[in-house]
Amino acid sequence: MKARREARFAGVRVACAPLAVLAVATCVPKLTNDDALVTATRVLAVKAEPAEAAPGATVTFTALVASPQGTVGDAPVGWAFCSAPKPITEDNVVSNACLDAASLSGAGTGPSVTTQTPPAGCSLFGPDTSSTAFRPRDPDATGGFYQPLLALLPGTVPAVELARIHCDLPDADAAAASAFAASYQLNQNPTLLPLTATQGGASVDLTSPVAAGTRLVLEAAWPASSAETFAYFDPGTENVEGQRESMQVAWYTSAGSLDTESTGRASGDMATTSDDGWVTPSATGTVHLWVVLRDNRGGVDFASVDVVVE
Amino acid sequence: MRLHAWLLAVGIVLGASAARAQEGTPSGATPSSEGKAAVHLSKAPKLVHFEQARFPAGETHGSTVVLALTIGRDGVVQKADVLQSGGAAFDAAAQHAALRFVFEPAEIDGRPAAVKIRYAYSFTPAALPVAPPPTPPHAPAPSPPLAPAPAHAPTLAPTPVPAPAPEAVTVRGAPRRPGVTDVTVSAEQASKVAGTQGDPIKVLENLPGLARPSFGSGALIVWGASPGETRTLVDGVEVPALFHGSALRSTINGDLVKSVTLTPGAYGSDYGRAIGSIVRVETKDLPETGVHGYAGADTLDGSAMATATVGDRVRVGVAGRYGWLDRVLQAVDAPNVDQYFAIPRYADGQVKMQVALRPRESLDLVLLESTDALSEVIPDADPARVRSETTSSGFQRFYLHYRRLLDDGGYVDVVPYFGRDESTLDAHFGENPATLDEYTRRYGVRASHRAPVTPWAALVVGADVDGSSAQVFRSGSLLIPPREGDVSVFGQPPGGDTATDAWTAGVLDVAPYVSAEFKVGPLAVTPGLRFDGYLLQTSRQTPRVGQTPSVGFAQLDAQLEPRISARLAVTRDLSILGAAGVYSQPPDPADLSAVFGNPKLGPETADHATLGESLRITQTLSLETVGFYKWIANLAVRDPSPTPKLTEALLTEGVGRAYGLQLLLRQQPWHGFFGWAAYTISRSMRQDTPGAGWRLFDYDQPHTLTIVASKELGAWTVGTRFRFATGLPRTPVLGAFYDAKDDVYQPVFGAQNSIRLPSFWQLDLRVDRSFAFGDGGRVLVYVEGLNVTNRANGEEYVYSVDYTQRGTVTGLPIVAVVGARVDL
Repeated sequence: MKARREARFAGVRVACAPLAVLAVATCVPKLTNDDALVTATRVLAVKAEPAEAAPGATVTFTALVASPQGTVGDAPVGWAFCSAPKPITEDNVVSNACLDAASLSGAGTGPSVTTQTPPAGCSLFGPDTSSTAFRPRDPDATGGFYQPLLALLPGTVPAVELARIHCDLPDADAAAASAFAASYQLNQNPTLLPLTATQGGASVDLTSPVAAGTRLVLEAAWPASSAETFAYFDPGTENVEGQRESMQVAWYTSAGSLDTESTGRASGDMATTSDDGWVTPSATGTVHLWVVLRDNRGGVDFASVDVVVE
Repeated sequence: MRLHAWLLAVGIVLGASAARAQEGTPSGATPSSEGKAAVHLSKAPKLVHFEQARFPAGETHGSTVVLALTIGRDGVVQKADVLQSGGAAFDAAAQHAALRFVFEPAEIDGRPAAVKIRYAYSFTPAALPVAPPPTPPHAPAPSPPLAPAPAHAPTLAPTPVPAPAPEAVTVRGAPRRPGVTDVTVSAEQASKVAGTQGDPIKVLENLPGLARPSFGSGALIVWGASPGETRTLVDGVEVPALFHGSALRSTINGDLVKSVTLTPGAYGSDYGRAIGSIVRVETKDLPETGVHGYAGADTLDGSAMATATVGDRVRVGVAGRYGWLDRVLQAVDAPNVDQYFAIPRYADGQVKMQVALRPRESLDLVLLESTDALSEVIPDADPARVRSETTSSGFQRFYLHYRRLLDDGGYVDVVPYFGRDESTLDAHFGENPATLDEYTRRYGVRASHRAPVTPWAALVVGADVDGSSAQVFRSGSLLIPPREGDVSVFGQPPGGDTATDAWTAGVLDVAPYVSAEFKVGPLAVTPGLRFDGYLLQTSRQTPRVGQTPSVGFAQLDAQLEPRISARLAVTRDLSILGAAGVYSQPPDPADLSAVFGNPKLGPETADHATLGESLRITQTLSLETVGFYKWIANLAVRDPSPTPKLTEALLTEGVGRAYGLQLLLRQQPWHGFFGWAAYTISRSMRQDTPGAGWRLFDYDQPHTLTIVASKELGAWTVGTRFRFATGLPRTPVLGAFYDAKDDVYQPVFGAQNSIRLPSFWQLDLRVDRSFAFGDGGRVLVYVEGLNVTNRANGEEYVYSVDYTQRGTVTGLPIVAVVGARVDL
């Protein structure tokens, strides 16, 4: 078996091995990887409300569409549910077929849409099978299953939202299933508190103009309750255990430069803030900042701030 | 040692009569890399049992008889022809005694070979002063006379006759060997090849038929077969890996290696469980006298070996290696090096004991151990994007090797063994973990008996039994670790789906085999038949649900595998050779999971066929051409259905084919120069499911060329290596979509394996200098320049986060490797 394995990302890294003592990074090409800079209209996030529901429930989906000119409030987003389950041969989050019109069913148009999710979600994308002869689909690391939903904005790459659907436990005995059902709480979207900033440790009011070329530290915060603890069935131990959500913050700007495009807190990290450095652009004008807060069960909140640079 | 030199002095190769030396010697296939061509004698035959002749009754004067002794590859004297008569009575007495001599067999390129030597037997009356008969170290004392000696019984002494210098000794003819496609390189040669850093097993990457894997992977990709389809054996005992992590070093100390043999396909019936190829490492005999050893060090590791004799019959050797590259990097304060380099931490050790039993009977006891650990962390401010991967692996083997040469030219060979394999993988892609732990116990025995039946035929019967019992725990995505045929790009995070399973799997293969060796005139044919009886067991045939007791599964599978090889000597210098066979290998225990694989997988199978020629151009230069075709079936592949059946994540529906042509122009040592040029053109395809289109094999590499040369210049040796290889196939990325849940872009792929990495070529140089000191001591210092042209070889494609740009990761820049060792 070992000979058949290949490290998923070690294989190329070792190509730099002899460089380790000399100059480590010269073997890695320089590519444009600044995903935080919004240079064209695109979908930055999709928020489902409620964040988790049984298939067939009514859910409101809202897209955060950004452009260099700011948030696009009337983006003509086309929404479509995918009905193609993912084969285990495909190393991706959804089936390639989800990009074919034949596998899509329209769910509305506009920056926000309220629609009923497909009732067959747990059989197409969850653990339900038509008979015990078939293999239940695997959940993610939080025990969740997801209904793919495409947000199609002309001129941009498709955005795929994975709407968390609540299904029964796969491969669990009655006692574990009962314990899980009694303790599991459907996911709630996290809440993003107002964005704050500091400069050299001093607070900066983002509603007031900031100087060009200034380095600020932006801080995203959320209530402690946003990082929920939820019931998780561990298939290894066959026990229902508590698991705490991890939090991720994605940062975007229309100008200037951010230290990193995303930050966050691991599951065991109890902190409720996360920060990123931002150097304001040298050119004056209004700069748009977007912050997207995600939990690892698919919950989302987002906010935008316009900052005047002078 | 003195006797060794003495025998070299009397050893003369009778070039013109070499073919005759083979007559009456049942011989199978001849070495494809040497063919019938004149080849270099890497070890002269050495007398280990001397038989005194009777002084002919009635004779009062001395005499000398010059004999031509035909010594089989088992060291037994098969013929003793009189070249120069000393009188009928003396001739008869000399022949009678000489036919009872036993030699350590001669070796051609590190393998036992039949040779013919000239031997002068002098009969001297006792009254004359004579030298005693030669007695080699560890050899039994000369046997008593066959009959009571007369009062005036003379003592006897072989007398050397003029002979060429040992360096000029060559033999003609072909030793018997199991496969016509074998390519063997002695450790002595291999360790001088540029790029090996003196590690003989690393010469493998320079042999014909091997594709070049990604830098540092150490995977053996032979004739279009997956790495897992090649078996690596040490003295016939399978070991899971010949290389430590990142392929920096081999797992067997180079000073314990005698030769490395690659059989890229169509191998004989004595081996099995590999639908691809066989790599055999043979350990060398320990020095017969004194205490010896070496110590060496470079930036990667330090190693040492010591040998000693214990009494007259026991020799012991201990070797070890310890990698310290991680500490070197820490010492030089390499910044964040583990972000870019999976730092290998490795160690290995070997113990070998050789016990001389009765004459022509030996017992070796060998212990092998190797451990490896690799870790790599790519930090990120976002915990969801932190990546880490930690792997460890190791193996232990203990085996006995009993061998007895029989009076009739046959032998008995038995190798029982047991050991343990261990490998762990712990990877994290953000908060998505992946784990695969395997703990396997291995046991088995190989036994064979060769019996000459007629002067032109011999029979070999044997059994090859191998068993394993594995405990496996796996969790994470089905696609971690990836399989051949998976489509992804470097750095792409796996899907978030996770599963868990823990199971045990047992594989027992009992394989009796028989082969015959016929040699009729210019034709040598070795038909064989092998029966692989597999018992496959798993602890669960369905996934675990709650506390439901597990129900195991067992199946029997039998594979009857006929094999044949043949060589036809068209002329003295040209031979046609071919081989074909049926092969199988059991499923990997890690694939027998009810969750991740399929507990009912059966063996994978393959049919091989080769046809080629071997041409001797000069006494030491040969050209070999081999065409090959392989058909592979019952490959375990992922079920492409969107609704796979329970316990059938893998199906045995994959098929494949590989074909090609390889050329090997090889210069055996000649005035201190040796080298070869190996070129292979090939194509390897796979069809994952019936009706699906054929695609390129992940490791398909149409063109590979390796040129190796080394020249001794007094105490200096200079060498070079040039390698060229077509880039491996890759699947293009045509676009991307945005995963709004995880804030990442995902690639949209084009046709599978429809583009390639850039072609690779590299030029390496090596210079070493040895300094003698004391009584046999030596210091060797070497410098290797790798990629001396500083070519930026593309090793992998990488993409920008949104897949709109593609770049190429390049491999080695120019690098100098300096090492030294002290031999005592």
